[in-house]
Amino acid sequence: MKRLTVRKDAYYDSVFLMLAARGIKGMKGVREAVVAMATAMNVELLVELGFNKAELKALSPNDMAVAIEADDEAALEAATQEAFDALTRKKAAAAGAGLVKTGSMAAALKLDEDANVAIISVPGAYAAREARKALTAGLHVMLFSDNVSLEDEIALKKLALSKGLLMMGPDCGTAIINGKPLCFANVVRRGSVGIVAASGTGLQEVSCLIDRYGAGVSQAIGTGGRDLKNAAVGGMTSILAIKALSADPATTVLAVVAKPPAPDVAAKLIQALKDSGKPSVAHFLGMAPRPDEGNVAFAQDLEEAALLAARFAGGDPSPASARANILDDSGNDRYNRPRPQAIQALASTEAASMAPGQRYLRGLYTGGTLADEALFLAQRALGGVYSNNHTDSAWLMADPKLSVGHAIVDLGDDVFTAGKPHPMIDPAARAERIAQEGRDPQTAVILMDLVIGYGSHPDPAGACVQAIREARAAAEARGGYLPVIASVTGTAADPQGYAGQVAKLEAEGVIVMPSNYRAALLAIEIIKHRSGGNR
Amino acid sequence: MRPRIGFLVPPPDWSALIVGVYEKAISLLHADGALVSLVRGAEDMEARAIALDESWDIFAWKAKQAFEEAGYKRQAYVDFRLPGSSGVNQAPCITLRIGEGYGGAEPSHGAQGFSLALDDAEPWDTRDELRQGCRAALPADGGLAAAIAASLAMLKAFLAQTIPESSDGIGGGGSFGKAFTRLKERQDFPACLVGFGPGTTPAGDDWLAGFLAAAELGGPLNRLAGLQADIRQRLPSTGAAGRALLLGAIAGAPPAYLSRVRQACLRCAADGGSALSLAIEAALGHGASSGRDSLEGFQAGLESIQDFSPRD
Repeated sequence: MKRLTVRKDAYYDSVFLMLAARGIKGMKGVREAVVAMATAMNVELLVELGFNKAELKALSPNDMAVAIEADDEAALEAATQEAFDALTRKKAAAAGAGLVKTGSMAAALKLDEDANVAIISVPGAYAAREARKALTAGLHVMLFSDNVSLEDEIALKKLALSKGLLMMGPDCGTAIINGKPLCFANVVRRGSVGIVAASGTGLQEVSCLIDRYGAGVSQAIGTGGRDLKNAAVGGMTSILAIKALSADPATTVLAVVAKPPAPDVAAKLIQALKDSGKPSVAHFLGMAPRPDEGNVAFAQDLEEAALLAARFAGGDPSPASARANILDDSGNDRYNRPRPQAIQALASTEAASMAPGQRYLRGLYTGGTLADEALFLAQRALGGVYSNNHTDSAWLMADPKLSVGHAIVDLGDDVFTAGKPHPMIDPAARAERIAQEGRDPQTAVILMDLVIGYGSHPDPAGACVQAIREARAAAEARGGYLPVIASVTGTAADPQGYAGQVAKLEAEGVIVMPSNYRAALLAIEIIKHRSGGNR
Repeated sequence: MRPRIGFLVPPPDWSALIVGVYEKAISLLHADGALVSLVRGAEDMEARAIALDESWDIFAWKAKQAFEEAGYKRQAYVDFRLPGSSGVNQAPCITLRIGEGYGGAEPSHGAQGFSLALDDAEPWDTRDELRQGCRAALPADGGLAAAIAASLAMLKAFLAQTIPESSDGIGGGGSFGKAFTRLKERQDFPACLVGFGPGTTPAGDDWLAGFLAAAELGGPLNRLAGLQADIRQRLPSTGAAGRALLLGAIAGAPPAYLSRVRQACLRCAADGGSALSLAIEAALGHGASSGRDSLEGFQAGLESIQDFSPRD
């Protein structure tokens, strides 16, 4: 059974024609398929193949012919439909991609004169030059590149400040501007919380939790790690961002996430939050607890920062009222803090089946800030914890590729990524490390993050399940049991889907906690149970 | 870089329908039945193309808007005209135009009427380059014959090592592949390949462009001229894209990627094939299967001339 379908005067890219032909040839019931221009020679071939001569002779060389021979009418119909769907799909995909490559900043600027943000990712040596061009042209800049000198950063930020522009970065990998996730960021709902963050995965974790708590984000502005930490940079971008968000009527709540700023910078930053008059949350990782001041609440961890911001967005006018409305865990994740008893009970169950030699916590992180949060919590609770992120040289890992004692490893560190993709993009290195830790009989708990969203691997959970399986099997073969504790930083709207990633991990027996903070708490609690001899 | 205008681009004034906007080229259907292309840069040039270089990004962007917003009616045009009435020593302009009958909203991004003056445009013609290359190759290391032998060996090795994108092509085992084998036995081979095979530019046309590019290097001139005339006669049998390609190939100016292969071939014995291997690799990445088809034609073309003495 044969059918000839024609599209008159059709000009498709040859690649699409080839893919369409290949697609239908593999379909059930299809014996032969030719997708080609109806030239005299091709018409001759089609006549030889038994297609209708009269019909073919009426065609011109600019017509596209789809000739299909199939077992029955249904197969013919399906294949014809698929051929044209494939061509339409490819055409739409090409149009939808909408990407035009340009050879220079000037050429890119000509493409859309209304553009007001430039994302720059070029080798560090050229990054400052390109950023300067963009700022000079009146664009806000998100500078993904690192290896930009401190002098260049200061000069760029001064230039930006003088023009009232945001200079996000260098080394800024996350932002959400007008609802658009940029680089490594998540699809969070729009709302009233404006975030300023000097930490990429910190911003991701807080914005995703805000989304999960039912609130949303107006803008999330990354600043680059040195903006607050380095006194000479002086928080120029952070403070300008706070001022901009203060003036933004769509932003009713401010949230700042960063590692501890330089003291003078911290004072200026907090003053800017106070001056905004808007309910604000500040979280400085690893900083000692600090009482709230006026409209500014100081959060102790990323989860609390998100909770307080969500409470503010829900209408709580002050830190005191927001805190009063945050409950201990009552079984759902909305506006709750973890109940210590629940964590302890879970830890007790997990620790019960371990072998005597299992002693150490092994944190394997792709997100630097998430690793830091776990490190601070573990250091405080367990005493000595090694890490390649440690600021205390006594606890800096001698070899980040080999865990000794309790260890929290940031796998996004340069030592792992030199010449290789970041583990958020390619989780293979982490999968290998999970298996490696599983082979170590001293490993008691594996703690890990999973960061989804734009920029991340399409299926990070799927990429590590085999390694988790192997690690757990290795522990069981030694007569033990290996708990794997994880959190997933992401939202339901992310391309990978939050629920699907959680389900894949849970199918392997991984305990997925609702935040990195809680995952770390549980892992630490399991170790404490081991130390207490609860077996 | 200055814009370049291929020597077979019809002179102004004319208008042509935009029939495709791709990553590296905008295809225009000229009234003479063959495509004219606006291309990004020199590497994508052909005899019926205009390379826009630095202006490519902006023009392609606007053309994309015009083409997409005109929709399936495909009534977006490029006008190629000389401004003013005198036409003497003036630079031609290319202007986007959405034709009458377009019923939608005014296109955004200012596509309608967007114009680009091709100031300082220089002509593009690779034929002189070929002649110089041939002359340079003659006395070196055994001359042209050695270059052709070395090129053939390298080309065969490359094509043997690389797997075709599709088995449905003229070199595969499908209907087109079987028919190609039969066509090789015909008296009128290879001219009978005009318009034969899959692809918007039929694979047979690519094969012929490669064959002609190689045949330009040597062999009896009357045989080459006969083939060129035969192909020219058959041009109405292929589509607009194939016609544009073959018009250049007949005139001795194949597309830039194939010209590079040819030039590298002339240096093959002298440089150890380093330029040729790069040119072949680049050619293999051209189009869906166009690069491979034209290289197979080029190989056949080299084989057809290898037993003849150099022409001069």
